[in-house]
Amino acid sequence: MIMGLRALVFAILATTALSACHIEPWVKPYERETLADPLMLPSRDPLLDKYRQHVYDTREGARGAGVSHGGGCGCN
Amino acid sequence: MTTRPKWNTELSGSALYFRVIAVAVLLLPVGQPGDAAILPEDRADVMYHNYDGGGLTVNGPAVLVRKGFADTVSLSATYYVDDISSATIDVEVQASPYTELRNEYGVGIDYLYEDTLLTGTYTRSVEKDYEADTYGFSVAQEMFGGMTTVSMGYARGYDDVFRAKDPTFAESIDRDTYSLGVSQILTKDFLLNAAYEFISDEGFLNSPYRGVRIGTDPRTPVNHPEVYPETRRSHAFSVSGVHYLRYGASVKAGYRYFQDTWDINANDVSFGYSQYLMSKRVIVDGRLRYYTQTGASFYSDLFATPQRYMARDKELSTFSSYSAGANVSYVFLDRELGFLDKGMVGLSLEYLYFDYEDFLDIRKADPKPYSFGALVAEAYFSLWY
Repeated sequence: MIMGLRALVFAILATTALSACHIEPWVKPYERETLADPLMLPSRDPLLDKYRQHVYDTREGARGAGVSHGGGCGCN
Repeated sequence: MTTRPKWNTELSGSALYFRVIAVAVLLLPVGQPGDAAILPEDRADVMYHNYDGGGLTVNGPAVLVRKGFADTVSLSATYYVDDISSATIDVEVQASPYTELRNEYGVGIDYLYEDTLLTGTYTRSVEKDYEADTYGFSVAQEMFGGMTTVSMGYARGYDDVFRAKDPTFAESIDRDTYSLGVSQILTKDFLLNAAYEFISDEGFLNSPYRGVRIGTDPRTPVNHPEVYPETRRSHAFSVSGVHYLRYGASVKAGYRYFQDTWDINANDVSFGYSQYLMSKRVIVDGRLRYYTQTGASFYSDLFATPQRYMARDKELSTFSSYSAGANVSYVFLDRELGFLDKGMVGLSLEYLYFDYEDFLDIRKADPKPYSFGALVAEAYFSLWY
């Protein structure tokens, strides 16, 4: 598990460093119309999804990293 | 009662690593100008929910209101009620049916600075025998021209556990949650999300009511209060993808893997399909989910001899669950009307079936593994402004 945590920390630090790099987006902002469509949102109705996750969490041993997490693409 | 089980390991090293993660979060650079991080939409939602299954009914309203200011700040408030009436198998075997009310209040603030979205939240949940306060902070950062969004979060929870009709009983739980998420645009029609979450609990993690059965003869066991480890650490990793179909539909698939220091290993997969109808005024969604887990190392339906840790909570046993659900939503307002931009109503139904492998229905003379089905219904009304 410690190895996994080290890998995670490395990944975060690498991501932090990479964010300063300039990478040409292969999907241009004007090509993201469908990505911003409501059908593409990880959680279109936050109250419903929160309640449904609560139903699962209180009846299962597992918890965390629900599929509704993920943040979306931030497209507009 | 929302007591969650927890585990036992020594992770002082892990805690250090996660502090490093928190520092890394704070060191994330602010983004390049011209990208498109956005605040959540201004909206108000009202929902009524009902759960009915396994001798338990839970229903009540929920409200979410969100409003942005000056394109940089968004404030949110939530209120949520669980009105509980319980006569579950646990209650039938060990106690009397009861009713309970849970109220949950939450507030949040989002602050947008260029491509970085900072979020702070506070939630308070109150029952007569359980109180929970949770403070959360997260940051989401767009990078690579908006192709990738990385989000990280930390939450600290303080729970107080009480026992009805026993004013001398008072225990507590401290909880740390670290989360990491990545959302990646792969093509013009495909979005990939991945998430990792580490949760650490310390304190009184078992139910103050439930007991275990001890004995060699299942017909004459001795009852004894549950005893759980005072710590639990869990890791969950999920990946999901959503693909837009050109005729006005999308397909989704997700997978989650979970493990913890109580030796529970769980997997779940989910699939979803969404479709526009009636010139996008109607959205129909269908979804399927399968979940399976192994039991905790200290779970047993019947202990032959007393152990250091003992549980007979069916949520810690070996079981599988299946669910199928559908939503229908209707946009009744799709143009500006006064201060309103959009209005929608909807209905959601989901059927769940739980199939336990080593949790027996001891209400019967010849006990067999327990199973039950439940129906979840949600009706909702949303306005955008």
